Amino acid sequence: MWQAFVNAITKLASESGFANITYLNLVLISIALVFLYLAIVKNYEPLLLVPIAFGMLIANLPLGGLMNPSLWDDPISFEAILHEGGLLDLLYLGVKLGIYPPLIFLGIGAMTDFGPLIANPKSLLLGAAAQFGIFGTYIGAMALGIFTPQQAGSISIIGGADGPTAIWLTSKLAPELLGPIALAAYSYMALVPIIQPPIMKALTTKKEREVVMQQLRPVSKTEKILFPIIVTIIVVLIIPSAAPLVAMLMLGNLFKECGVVERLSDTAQNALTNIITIFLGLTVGATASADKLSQPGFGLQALSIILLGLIAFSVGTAAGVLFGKVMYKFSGGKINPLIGSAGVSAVPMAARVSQVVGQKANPQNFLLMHAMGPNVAGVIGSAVAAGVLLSILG
Amino acid sequence: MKDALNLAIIGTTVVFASLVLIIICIKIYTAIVAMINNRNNKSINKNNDSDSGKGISVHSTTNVNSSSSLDGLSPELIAVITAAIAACMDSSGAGLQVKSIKRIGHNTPIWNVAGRNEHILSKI
Repeated sequence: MWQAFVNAITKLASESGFANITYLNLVLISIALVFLYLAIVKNYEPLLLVPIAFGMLIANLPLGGLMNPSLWDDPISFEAILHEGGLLDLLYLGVKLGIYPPLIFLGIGAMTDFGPLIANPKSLLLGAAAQFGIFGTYIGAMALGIFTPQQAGSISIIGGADGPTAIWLTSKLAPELLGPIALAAYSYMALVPIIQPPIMKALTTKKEREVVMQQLRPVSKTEKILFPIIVTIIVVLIIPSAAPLVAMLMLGNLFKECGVVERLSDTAQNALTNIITIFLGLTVGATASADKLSQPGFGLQALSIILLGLIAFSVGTAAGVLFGKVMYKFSGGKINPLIGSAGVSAVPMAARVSQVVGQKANPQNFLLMHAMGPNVAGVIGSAVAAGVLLSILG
Repeated sequence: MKDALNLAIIGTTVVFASLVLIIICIKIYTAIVAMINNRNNKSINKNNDSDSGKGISVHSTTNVNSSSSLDGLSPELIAVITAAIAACMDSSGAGLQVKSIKRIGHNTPIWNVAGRNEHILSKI
């Protein structure tokens, strides 16, 4: 009787998560807890970091069966995933098939006002210049010699400061690095107010930072309606591989501006974006499993991704500010170079940083709306850059 | 390494080319929209001239790129500004014409601006 009781308890214990947990699981669970702390207590991108960190936590609790990394090894059998996959495996299909990031872009489009960009189209150049961070980092990642061209392309897109774009491209080019790249992208987006100001101040003079820009002209409703249609046609014709991101971004914006589909616009901005954010965060977090960490060289790769992400971000900011200085010279001192840093995307955080730094130099300066032009141009620019990388490396 | 450099050059060029093309298209279509708006404004002006003195009328007299243009301002905003002017003048509004609305430069006392900045910064 006593022996049967002991046997039953031993069997239960050996089948519990406690008996199967590895030290790598514990490391990742600790990292997940740190991320939860940062999101909840420090308020770092909580909307994304809470689901990402929780996904990471539950994927590393053994025997839960929520996510089975072995099902995603090449060659992938979607039939096996549908039959044997856990809840997170099924939700991860949206990442793997590139469905969630374009849907997030639909919501971003419905929330974005392209008015400042239409009023000052030249600010698109600043959005383009800031993408130099992406391509500069690609060279750096390749020079390290530990990444394949596809992995280097996925890492470099962190410089676009656009989480959904980074996830979309990485899921296509280097899905094995999805976890660290998504975490690095969103972490650096949250750290924009800390990373950017020193670079902006180092590259500009006080006189340049004090420039008060001319009031933007009002933009008519017709211009705002035509914008998403024209941009979709041009960009999709030039870079067809960027179509999912750009087309969805512009469809969302058309919902907002046309004024006849209020309900669709409202759904895209709120309910749809929130639902997709939960799915995306949870499944991306769940890709950071102990199996990945135990692969040889993964630790070095993860550290390199964090470092290269920071370089990509800094180079993008610097390139935007330097191009802003060029525009300052050519415009006869009418353009404040600080708005160039907003070209790295990270809407609207990067534009707020331009506003804050500009106002420290000149309290009467309001750069926010001027910086929104390059900021939203950065979203288009990073989507185009992702399309270019996909069409060359994919 | 050479391939990486090539990709970086091609990528940067394609991004710039795409965005420059968008700039050109924006310039073209905004010019067309401005031209159409000007034409419409002129016909409204003609109608307003014949109706002048009968009540409040609002019309723009300059092109869309001018700071004095009413284009781009919502009818609600124009109505509010017109009503505010009528209230300031202690008038019923009969016979009042707002021909243009211009944003004026900074002439607010510095302490007012500092207070307003602080308030705005606390909101963003």
